[in-house]
Amino acid sequence: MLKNTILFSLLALSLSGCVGLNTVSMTQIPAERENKITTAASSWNFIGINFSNAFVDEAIDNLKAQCPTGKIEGVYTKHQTTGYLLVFKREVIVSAYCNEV
Amino acid sequence: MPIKLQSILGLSFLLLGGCSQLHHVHIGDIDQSQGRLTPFTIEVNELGFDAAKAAEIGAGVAKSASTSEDLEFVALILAISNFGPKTGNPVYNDAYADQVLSEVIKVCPSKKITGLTSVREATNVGPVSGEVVRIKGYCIN
Amino acid sequence: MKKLFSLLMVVMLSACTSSIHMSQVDVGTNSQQELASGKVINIEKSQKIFLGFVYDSNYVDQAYKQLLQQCPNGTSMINVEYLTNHGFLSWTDKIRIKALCKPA
Repeated sequence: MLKNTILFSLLALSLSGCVGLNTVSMTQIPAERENKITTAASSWNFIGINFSNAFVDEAIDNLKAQCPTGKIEGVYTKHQTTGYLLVFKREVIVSAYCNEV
Repeated sequence: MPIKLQSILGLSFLLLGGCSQLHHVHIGDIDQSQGRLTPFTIEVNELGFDAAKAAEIGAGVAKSASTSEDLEFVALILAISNFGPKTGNPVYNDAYADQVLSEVIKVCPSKKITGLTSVREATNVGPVSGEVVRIKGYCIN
Repeated sequence: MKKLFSLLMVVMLSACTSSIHMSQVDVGTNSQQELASGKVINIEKSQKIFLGFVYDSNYVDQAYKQLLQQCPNGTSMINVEYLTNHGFLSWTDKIRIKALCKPA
């Protein structure tokens, strides 16, 4: 009974996902911070096998779409991977400021 | 496997492992419109040492079975004592790259900088390595 | 005696190892005045992790928020360092931000 409880707890913990931060990147922060824009894009894989990194481009396109005529400044990017046993979610989370020139 | 062959294999592994490894690169904007550019490089490095890997290699080349077992145990202790994600070999000083920003600020007499490239790299020789943070850029004259 | 020496060596080698994953320096369109008179600020946030179970990376967002507060006029240079201090079945992830705040 105790063994099952421990195994179940470990399984539940594993399935709830473990986050691994890959990189953090920041560009210069502007003084004007009225219009904050955010986006996130992700890609799922099995045991870490990936065939494309196109999700990163998706994040950039989303960001550009939110600021079609302005200047995107103060870009803060987090690249992280969340593991659910054998399945992994790669994710880029981006926030920035859209300032009209 | 005979001990001599193991030793040769271990040594080959050490020599073949002496290579450069690139971990991370970040390239910034380059402004060539404001004047002539003079390149600069700032490099900081620290000795990296994977003690667990060294103990494992030791266990592989040890002459007696008991020494080999002891070293394997040491490798296990070291591995669980130094738990966590690693980029390159572990170092014993986490502040070796603390001065890069102040160095970059000081480097240009004109106080105008562009084209910063940040590189995190390492040169490995088996369990020993040089863990490097290198910042390259240009002073605008 | 030999075993005791070995044990001591193991204890010494297992103390306080670290790994710097990345160190990035970024510069904007700077002016001489900003680099000469700007104030450098230091921010450090960390997260202690046991047995690899970690569910968020919010400490990074906290560091970024603090940066926004401390540099109300923006920044002209940023250095972001991401590192891990290793420990016994646990580790501490750290974000260190150094930035040159633009003067008012």
